[in-house]
Amino acid sequence: MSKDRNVKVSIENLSTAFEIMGSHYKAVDDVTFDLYDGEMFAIVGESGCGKSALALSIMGLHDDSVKIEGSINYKEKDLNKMNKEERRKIRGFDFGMIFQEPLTALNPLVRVGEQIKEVLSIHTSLSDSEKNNKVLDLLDEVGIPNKEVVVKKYPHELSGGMRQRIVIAIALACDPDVIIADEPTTALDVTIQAQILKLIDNLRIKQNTSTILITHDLGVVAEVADRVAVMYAGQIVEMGTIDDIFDNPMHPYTISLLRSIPNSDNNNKKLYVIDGIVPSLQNIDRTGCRFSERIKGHDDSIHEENPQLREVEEGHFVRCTCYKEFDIEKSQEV
Amino acid sequence: MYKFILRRLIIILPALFLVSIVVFFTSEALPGDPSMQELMNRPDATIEEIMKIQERYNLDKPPLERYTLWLKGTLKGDLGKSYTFRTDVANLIKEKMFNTFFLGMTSLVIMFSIGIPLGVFSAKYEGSLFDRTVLGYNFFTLSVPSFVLGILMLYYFGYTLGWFPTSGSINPSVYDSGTQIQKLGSRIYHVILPAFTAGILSTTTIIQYLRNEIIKNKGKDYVKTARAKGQTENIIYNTHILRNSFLPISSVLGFYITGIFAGSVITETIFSYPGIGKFFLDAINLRDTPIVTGLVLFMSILTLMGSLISDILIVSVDPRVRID
Ligand SMILES: Nc1ncnc2c1ncn2[C@@H]1O[C@H](COP(=O)(O)OP(=O)(O)OP(=O)(O)O)[C@@H](O)[C@H]1O
Ligand code: SF4
Ligand SMILES: [Mg+2]
Repeated sequence: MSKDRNVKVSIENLSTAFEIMGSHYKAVDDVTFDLYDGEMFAIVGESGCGKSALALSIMGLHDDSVKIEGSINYKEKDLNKMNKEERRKIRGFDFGMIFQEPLTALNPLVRVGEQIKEVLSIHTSLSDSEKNNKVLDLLDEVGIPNKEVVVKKYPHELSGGMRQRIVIAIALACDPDVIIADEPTTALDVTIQAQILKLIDNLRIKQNTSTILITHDLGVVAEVADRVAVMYAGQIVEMGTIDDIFDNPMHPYTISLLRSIPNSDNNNKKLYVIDGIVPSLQNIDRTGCRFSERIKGHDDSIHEENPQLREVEEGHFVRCTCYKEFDIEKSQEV
Repeated sequence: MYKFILRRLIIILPALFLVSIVVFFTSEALPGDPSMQELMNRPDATIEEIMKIQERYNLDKPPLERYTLWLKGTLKGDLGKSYTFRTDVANLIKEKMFNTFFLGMTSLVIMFSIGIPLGVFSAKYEGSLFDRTVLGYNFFTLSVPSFVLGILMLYYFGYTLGWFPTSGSINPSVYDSGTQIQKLGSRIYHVILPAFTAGILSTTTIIQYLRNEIIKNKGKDYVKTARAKGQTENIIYNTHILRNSFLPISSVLGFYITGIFAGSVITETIFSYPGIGKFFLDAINLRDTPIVTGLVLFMSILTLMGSLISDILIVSVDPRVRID
């Protein structure tokens, strides 16, 4: 499905290293993927695997101490090579971002209408009344009732779901090409989660915005994503269409993630738990397979030094040497 | 908003009433009264003479009645007569209160005009040489007692350089026959040294407070949102971050105003500045109960007013604080 689509953003060998006690450690390590026009691209992975670090790198929101390598190609330019001012002009205009915490993402002292208007003031030369009208239109678009009243409200006067809609309106204000939503529903009630997700999806379809949806909820992914990248310890370990990942997962990490989703089929069974935890940045073993510590039963003889991300079938990439031989059932017995 | 202020004022009334009771009866409990003084001065005074003095100051009446009389007078602005000066307390403290107020306000202005820029810039350039210099300055102001700085200022700028007067609040000849402008000028000239002493030493809290607030706010999510909008760093700093950082400071402003009077004793004494700070101590030593009562009452009212001002400020700058 991807061949006939235009690439909107092409990310090549992107690495993001944080400085900890004087040395840099990569939280995003050699990530490469294309974001297609109007697609919903999901990034999943356990907490701490580098999803937010990746998102902030694409937005250019890291501070100067963070070392970012590789390229982020957008409209024939490498964002990573731009100066700060050029980068700033792209933020909010071409790239919008939706954050995880709607409770804190808005300035508590400023009326929400003004906060939406701020983006328009930065990037457009609309008159004041045009901006006000645009703000009302945006509130309509994100499904806020009583918009005339809501524009004058302060963030604390709105519910979490409403605030997230305001954050979405801010991200949408300048009709961006790309929206990055970093766990946009994690902080919300389950019922609101579904609404917000639907909203993001509908807006993407309506405006053909390429959307990167970061989540650790595979249920969410199954519902709205076109393609998925599974991240582990800063790397993409598997990437493919939603069917590739859900029906034919190959990387042991993906398989175990899928098995750890609670669903009605395995109601009575004990939930599958992946052994161990994501290693912290300084402790990632950067030689060999990063996941090897957490699985048993792999055959070391067929392992390459550092497993590479390979396209094993069209559009389906896996970073695992022995995915064919690997049997997760067997591994548990060992 | 007006309703809120009105309601707060109404709540203050019972508080004031309680304060008046406490103030009156604690002052009463101070040992000594004018008849005793008279006795000490003239051990041969007759009973009649003593009785007459007691009568003059209502000391012959039972405590409750004295309180009611005092309260009635106070409500009319009459704080009674001083034992030692034999004149109206209200008149005695009026000028001194004004002086202390003038000194306090000037030192507040000095404190804010030094403290705010230092706090803002040390936070903006966190970790820089400037920031560390400000930290050093903070250690200095925190560890130097006001009487030491006061005496140094007095000695250097007052005596050695002779730039500023070394005592008083206004030039007496200007006070008698100067124009309004000349009077103000002379007052400012006299207040500069003591105000700088008090002002500089109180910058510490404001600098540390502001710096911490700003650094805390720099990392807040809404700042990230503003960056994601493409907002420029300058505007993010000057509007989003600073606005949120000044909020807690405006809320303690009211208490600074109360603090002016409490903290004036040492400065006023060093600079022989005729304010209520030193006068208050003198009145206690002289057992001049009406003056003590009047001043304590006045300071209590100020404290209540200070907290009222703080509340009003909080309500008007922070939309999260509900007023109903
Ligand atoms: N500013 C920072 N300085 C140092 N280390 C950081 C910084 N930000 C993140 N990290 C580390 O980088 C790694 C990746 O963090 P990141 O926030 O990207 O994870 P995540 O996948 O978004 O997790 P979550 O699902 O919890 O949001 C983690 O080990 C984290 O501790
Ligand atoms: S490469 Fe080997 S160790 Fe790594 S995930 Fe695949 S099977 Fe496990
Ligand atoms: Mg995250």
